[in-house]
Amino acid sequence: MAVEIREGKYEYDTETEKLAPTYEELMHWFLWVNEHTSEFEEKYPGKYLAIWDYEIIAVGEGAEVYEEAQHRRPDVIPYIVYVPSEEEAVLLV
Amino acid sequence: MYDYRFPYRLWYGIWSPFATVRLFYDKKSATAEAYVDSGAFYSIFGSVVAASLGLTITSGARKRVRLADGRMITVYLHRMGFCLGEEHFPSTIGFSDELDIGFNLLGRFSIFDRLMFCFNDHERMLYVSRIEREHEG
Repeated sequence: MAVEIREGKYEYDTETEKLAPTYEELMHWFLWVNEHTSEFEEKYPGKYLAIWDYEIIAVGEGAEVYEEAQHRRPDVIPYIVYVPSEEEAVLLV
Repeated sequence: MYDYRFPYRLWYGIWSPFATVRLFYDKKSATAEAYVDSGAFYSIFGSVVAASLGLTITSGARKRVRLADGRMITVYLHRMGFCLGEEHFPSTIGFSDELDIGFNLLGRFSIFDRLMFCFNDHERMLYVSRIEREHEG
């Protein structure tokens, strides 16, 4: 995998020809999701979120979330997060 | 000492260990997160990640596995690149659309021999360290 760092927070993958967050940047997005779980539980239970740069660029119940994200931002590899329903969260214990 | 740490995530009052990962397959990649499940042998990812990778789930090696709730499901194993932080290595990842939960699961096979996971429920922190392998000096 050959990558170039851009703007200090993105990797440009020369194989996929798309931008992806660096690990450090991805950790910021991960923590941003952690800070918004209550809001996401309320708005998006059982949904997948495609996230790019602290913005939800697509929401869906299945693979269509990736297609919608690619339609909106074909130049990036979004961070896919699943928001569980309350019943699913119980399965985690 | 650790190389990476992930604060637990709070879903509906339950603190749970998730980690962000990237998978690479046939010139495509996906950035997702997975519930780290030390009780699971295989990692099992779902159809959204498969779609991101352009992967046909059923083209992999078929395995029947039993879940903690007693159900049997079919999982298809695929070889692909795995990345957590700066750690890149080839791995075998299972895909299934029968899991009936939206989470991806990160299990032990081909992962826990490269990375060591420490679940600190007191700190609500998942610590991850690379395992130094002898032949790598």
